Amino acid sequence: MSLGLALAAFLLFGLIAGLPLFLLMGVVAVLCYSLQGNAELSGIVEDIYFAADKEILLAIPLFILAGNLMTQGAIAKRLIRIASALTAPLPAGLGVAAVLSCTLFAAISGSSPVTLIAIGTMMYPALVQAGYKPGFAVGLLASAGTLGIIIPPSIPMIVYSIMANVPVTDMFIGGVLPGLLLASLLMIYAMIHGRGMPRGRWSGEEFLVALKTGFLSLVVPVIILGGIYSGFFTATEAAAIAVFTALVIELGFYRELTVPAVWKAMTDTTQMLGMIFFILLFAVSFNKFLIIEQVPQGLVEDLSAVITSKTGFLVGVNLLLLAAGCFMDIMSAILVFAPLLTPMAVHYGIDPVHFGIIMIVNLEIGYLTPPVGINLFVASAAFKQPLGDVIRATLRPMLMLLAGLALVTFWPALSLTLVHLK
Amino acid sequence: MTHPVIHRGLQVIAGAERLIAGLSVGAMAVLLCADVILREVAGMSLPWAQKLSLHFMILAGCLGVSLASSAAGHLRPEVGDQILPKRILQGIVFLRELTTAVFCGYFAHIALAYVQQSKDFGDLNVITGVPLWVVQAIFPATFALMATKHIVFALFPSTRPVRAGVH
Repeated sequence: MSLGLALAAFLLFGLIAGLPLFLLMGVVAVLCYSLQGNAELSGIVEDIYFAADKEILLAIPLFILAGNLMTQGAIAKRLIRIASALTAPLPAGLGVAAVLSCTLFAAISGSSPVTLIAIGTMMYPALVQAGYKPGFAVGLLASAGTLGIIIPPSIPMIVYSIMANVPVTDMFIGGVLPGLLLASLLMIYAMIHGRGMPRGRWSGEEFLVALKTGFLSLVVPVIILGGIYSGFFTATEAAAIAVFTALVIELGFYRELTVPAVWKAMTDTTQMLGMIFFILLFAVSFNKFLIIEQVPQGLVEDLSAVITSKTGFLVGVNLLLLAAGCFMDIMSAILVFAPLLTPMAVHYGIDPVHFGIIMIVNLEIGYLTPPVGINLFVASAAFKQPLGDVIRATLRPMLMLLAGLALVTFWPALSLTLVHLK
Repeated sequence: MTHPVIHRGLQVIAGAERLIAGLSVGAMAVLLCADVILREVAGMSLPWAQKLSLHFMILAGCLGVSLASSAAGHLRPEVGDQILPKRILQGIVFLRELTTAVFCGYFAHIALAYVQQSKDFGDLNVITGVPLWVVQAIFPATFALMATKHIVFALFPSTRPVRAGVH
């Protein structure tokens, strides 16, 4: 039996048996080493060690830790109060506040489920209590939670930048305007869908009190994004500063975060890191094999013969990534597709940063598509709603996100203007 | 029926992993924060801070992988869980645990060979001065720990962790 057949059989077994993804990646890496006639299989361990020995990787656990600390503390609550005061007079003001709160929290956290939990657990009861239908509230929050990975900082963007060899700061800066566009579209959806809801009244006093008590919460995204944008911090340093400011604000000023909660945030971080750590390292090793074997170049040549236009490529890639988002989690999809598709995108004249943003938005929508849309499960568990209802509730806001995806795809300036201004 | 010692053993291992990994994350965060703050406030920096933090991250990451095994937290395809009948699924889960244990054992073996080579060559991290094999040793250790856990999960179904859900 040839090695290719053995690999296909093993992957099929792995898929059915549900073998851990890191193991599938590891076995693929071993077989690839064997294909190269490389007898020294310990070279794989060398690959994964050197893949782990990259400073940029430090940003991943630190942003996870910052998000976990802020979820346990009071920052999310204060951001919600500011957003609610600001949007009260708008149609469906509380719905708009939910999206705005997710947007603000996304500028601190790099994860969609964390954003959804941090904001959703407080916003959902408030929305239902204010008379919004549970379905609307669930759909809106699950969709707005996805903003966590498009508005920088973003853990998937860090992974993309490693796999596609793109500066992570460019990815972060490139994600700002598309993130704001998607947030705006979700706010418009909330205003249209909830237009029958009674409007609140603007209260300058409440806004000033909310701003006064929550001012420090707003400082965190300003420091992180301002530091990265001005070149004052690298992404890794910004992640460290995010942890530091979160701790100073939560422990020194708000004083709602307890020491056991800090410890829980730290141990949760290790487990979340553990879920992706070996997958990432084995994927880097596999990527090295792809480059040595010139697989991306071969695919570019094959694909150019079939797809002759940039538009055709973009449409095809969007369909592929939307389908991938249904069946793969975001990290796996980036690790598998980024090394293969980015060289193709460059061949068609697409900037790799723009392409990365397209990929992130596609996979962001994947958080809402069954069977493996993580935000669907998180929302179902957190808001105690049947999964089927959650899926139905996200359909309309997802249409807005798809409209946003089309704009992001065919309007490169949206992703690249700030990068070029840097 | 599983011997309570096995349950207790798994708990002790996971507890130790959690403690070391949590402290490593803390150390990593403290080092990096100190580096940035000292640079901005006092105009001095800790040139070894990022490299040393990386050592801690590798330790935390590897132990985190093993912890994910203890909590059934690994990302994995779930097609089989949905399409296979329950009776067949039980056998499949046994095979999954066994296969995971075998391959983790195999990876532990090749990782150990690599660490041995690294020790023989006397490679050092030029910035921290730490022998590389000391850092790299966590790889065979992690794979060995996971192989042990998954063989226990295969043989004693009652010890298998239930999926945490949110990730």
